[in-house]
Amino acid sequence: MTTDTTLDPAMRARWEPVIGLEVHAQLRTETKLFCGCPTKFGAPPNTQVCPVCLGHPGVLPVLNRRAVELAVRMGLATGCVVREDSIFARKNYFYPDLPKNYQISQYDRPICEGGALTIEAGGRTHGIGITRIHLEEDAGKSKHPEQAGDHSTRIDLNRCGTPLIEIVSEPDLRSAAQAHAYLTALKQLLQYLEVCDGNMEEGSLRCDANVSVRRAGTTPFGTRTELKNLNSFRFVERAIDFEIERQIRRLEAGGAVVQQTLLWNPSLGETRVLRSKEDAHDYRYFPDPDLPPLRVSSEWIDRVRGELSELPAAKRARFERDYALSFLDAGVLTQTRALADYYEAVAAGEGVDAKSAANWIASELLGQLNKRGLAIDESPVSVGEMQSLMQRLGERKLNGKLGKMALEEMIESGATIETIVARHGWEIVADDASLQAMVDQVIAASPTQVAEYRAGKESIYRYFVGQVMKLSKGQADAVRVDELIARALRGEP
Amino acid sequence: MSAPVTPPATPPVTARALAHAVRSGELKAAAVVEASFARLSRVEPTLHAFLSLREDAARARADEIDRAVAAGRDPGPLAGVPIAVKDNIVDRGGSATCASKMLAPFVPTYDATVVERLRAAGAIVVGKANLDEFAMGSSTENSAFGPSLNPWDPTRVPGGSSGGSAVAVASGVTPVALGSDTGGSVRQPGSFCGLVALKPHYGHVSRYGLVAFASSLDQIGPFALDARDCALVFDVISGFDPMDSTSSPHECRIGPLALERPVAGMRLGVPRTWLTEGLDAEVVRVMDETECRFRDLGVDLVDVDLMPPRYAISTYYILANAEASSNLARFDGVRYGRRSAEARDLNSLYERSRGEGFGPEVKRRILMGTFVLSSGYYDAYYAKAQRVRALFKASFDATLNQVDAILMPTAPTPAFVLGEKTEDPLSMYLSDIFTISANLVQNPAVSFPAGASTGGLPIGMQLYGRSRDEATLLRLVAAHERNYDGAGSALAPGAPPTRAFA
Amino acid sequence: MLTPEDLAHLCQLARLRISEEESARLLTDLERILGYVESLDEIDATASAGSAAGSTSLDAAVDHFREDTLVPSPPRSEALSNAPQVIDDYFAVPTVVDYGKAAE
Repeated sequence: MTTDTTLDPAMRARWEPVIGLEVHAQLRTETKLFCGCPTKFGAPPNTQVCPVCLGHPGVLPVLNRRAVELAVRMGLATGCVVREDSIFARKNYFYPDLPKNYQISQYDRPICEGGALTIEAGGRTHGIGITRIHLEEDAGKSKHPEQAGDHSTRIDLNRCGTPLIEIVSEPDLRSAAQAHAYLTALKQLLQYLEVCDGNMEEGSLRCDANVSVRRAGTTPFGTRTELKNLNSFRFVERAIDFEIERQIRRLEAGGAVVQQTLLWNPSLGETRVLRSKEDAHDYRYFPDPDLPPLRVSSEWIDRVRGELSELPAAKRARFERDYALSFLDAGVLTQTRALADYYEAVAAGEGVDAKSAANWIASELLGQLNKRGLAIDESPVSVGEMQSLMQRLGERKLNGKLGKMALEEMIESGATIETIVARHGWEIVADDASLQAMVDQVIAASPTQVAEYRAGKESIYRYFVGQVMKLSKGQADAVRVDELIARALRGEP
Repeated sequence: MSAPVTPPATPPVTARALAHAVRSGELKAAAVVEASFARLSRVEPTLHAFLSLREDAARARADEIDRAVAAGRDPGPLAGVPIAVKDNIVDRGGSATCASKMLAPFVPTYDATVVERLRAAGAIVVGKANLDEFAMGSSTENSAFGPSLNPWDPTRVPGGSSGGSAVAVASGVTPVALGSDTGGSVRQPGSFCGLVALKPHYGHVSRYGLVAFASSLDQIGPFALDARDCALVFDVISGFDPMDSTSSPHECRIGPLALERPVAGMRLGVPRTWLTEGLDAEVVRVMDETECRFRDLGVDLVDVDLMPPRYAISTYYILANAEASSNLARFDGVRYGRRSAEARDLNSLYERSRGEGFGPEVKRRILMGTFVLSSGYYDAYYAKAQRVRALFKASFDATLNQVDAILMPTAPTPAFVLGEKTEDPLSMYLSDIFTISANLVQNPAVSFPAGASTGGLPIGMQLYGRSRDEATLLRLVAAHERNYDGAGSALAPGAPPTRAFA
Repeated sequence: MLTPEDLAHLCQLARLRISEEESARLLTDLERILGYVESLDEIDATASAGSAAGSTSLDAAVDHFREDTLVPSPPRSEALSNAPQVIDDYFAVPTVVDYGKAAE
């Protein structure tokens, strides 16, 4: 049942939420975990399956080396210990989108353990523990009937066998906002490492939450519920908030929290029971006899560690330091690796001012791209062209206003800056003779304003600048114009 | 049902002799295949070795081979050799019923690796052989399509679970066959039917395409009339397979020369404490005779100690059934196989399809396997059995450091009568007492003809080998053959005894 | 001692529907078999190295991987060829949906 009244803050303050997240990330491999079928999203149903991932009689799994490499990469990036010997185990349960009626996963000995992720929430940083990361295969998809009279569930097994890593956090999160921040940081890291494309809409990133509450200031954990079907960042936060409040209300009313698995229903805005503890599966885990223990040598681990790209936090700090950017700006530019790489490439250009480039890219370019729904790696403005633009701005061959117009046109048409400037004749007028002529013309035509200025009205200064800019169709070198006007008004020749 | 079976008009010919004749052009593969089908049509109504035939495909393949030979190409070391393959091994477009109603409608869309290798070597699959359902059993009486009968005495079982494959060879339809061995399912029917029957070292033969019963115990193995034919087939089917993660990269080919080497000076261990109870007196006699023959060959026989076999039975049934309960979960009527007509919702689809599709032995094993893996019991049963398994391995390896191989009977009795053990599953399990340890420790083991009961039933003896050492085993069997008059062997001219054949 | 409830639970886990008659037989048979395997209690296996890594660790495990290269999937007709029921290129089963009650 929904409730319109928000929880009384005093009541809320008596309780501390305890949240852990289990995140499943699809690995960016070409092929599935145990067979050579493709992992591409969106193919017609049952066109990316073979006897192995269909669970036919007699088939056997063979492990994708690249999937292991990506799991190790993520483990090292989160400071985990990577086990040199880990074991695949069968998780046994019946479901139509699970062809073998067991999932090959890892149980007792996962590939990575004991890491952490730093998040920022509520203006502070928190270290959130990562209990473990393990490899497992994905299941297929079930389409349930949507119309009355239709009693069939349709199964598409394309996704079956796609490699996943499951990342389990310690129950260190204390609010829905922190959960949101954790998920954001995790997604960013996965994308940085090119381990996962982090797309919750397409399901390459999925999240379940374990939620409980305890009286503020106490240590023992309360009974927890498991929330599923949280398939967007917004849902994660809303569902967790809802569940926290639901539990608090219950406990305050003298009731108890029942250990259940709950499904988040976004249209109703509430959680509903999927199964109770009594129905809980007995997965009967045992080591998969079809797969030998996974050996990851220390040489392999060292190589992956050596190849680890710079992580988001380190990159942000470096940007602040090396490019003299603010914490905020550095944060924007390091949001994704693609953007950070783009910025650095541009800033490396001769005659490009790093701070100026930061502003232009972070606000102008990104703004224009966002308007058109384009990502940085789809930018029609190449690094070279962006450098060209920055150089012209730096040399004052273009001013701010023209620069913005040029950028917009570059995006719209894909044309080069040189072509655009030539087409419009947007070269800045910078030679003193022309500029002086224009200044003289304006001064001569504005005796009233000159008198007002000389009488002490300083704000009228802008009028002269505006008039010269108008005369030059915006192409006058603003800085030089300013100097010339100042001289003219001072009465200097 | 007890009408005896007429022996073939000419003495059975070995696979290597047939292949040689076909490759040289002396004999047409087409003629060999026709002879095989002719023999089959005579004996099959009585013996029921096959669940399905591959007549068109076999004839087509035979023609291909004959054309290859005529064009001067070599069709391979098994050119034109007819072979029966146990029907738990998939052949594309064919079947993998596993002798179960559950998979009766299933048509495989790929070939098992061993089938590909047989085909590449020129062998011709004439049909899929009967078995105990999902390879669970020791007599073929658990087949959903009726048992196969022993050609030496059709009132008796041929052994199991690879009974159909053994019958195909022992009755002269094919000179070789493939079965699978999880607890003795190749060796025990080999013993009951007078054949050489090998369980390779685990991982030497690919399991890709073998419908899994117990993944860590299953191995595909050949039936043959003698050691050299057995080695020939083993060499064709063995070797690393990238499609099987448990496949071994070790070189394991035997080659023709290894079997010629004399065995004088080798040592055989005999686990005397294993031979004190439950052994049929005739088996004891044949064991003595076999020991004498080996001594005559200059082999030393010494007493050795091994962990008691009853622990092997317990360990095996816990581990095998646990793995089986998981391996057979995929048979649910959703994507293939038999779906119950009574399925109203998902749960009833599962429960009824599986309830109707599986026979009683299969259900017993699935339930036991589910039990030993279930919450609260895993440590006491499954985890414990794993540890005991490792102890067995250590025990066998220690003994095999002192001797070249271990000698013991294959089965406690000759072939038993149909229906004799079906009431008591445990008694059926105990007939595996001598074979089961080889699967647990993963070492190679072979059964070979060593004698016959006074009633004329074959009695086989068994050799356990060192890790990865099939060659030594078959070398010992080959030497034994040179010193043996062939009683109870399906190869020996003049055998089988008259009661079985008119 | 295996009770009929225990057996029913196992049948549920294994999705096996059995008759009353089968149930009685199974209880007896399973009791006997489980009784036999209790013989393992006689062995002290604490020193054994087994169990931790699973069955296939009996022999030194060998690295066995696939490279991440595409193997073209067989045509859909083949994938669906054995299906007992197909609707619009999907495997079809009687519906499983059951959106349950609100959390207790």
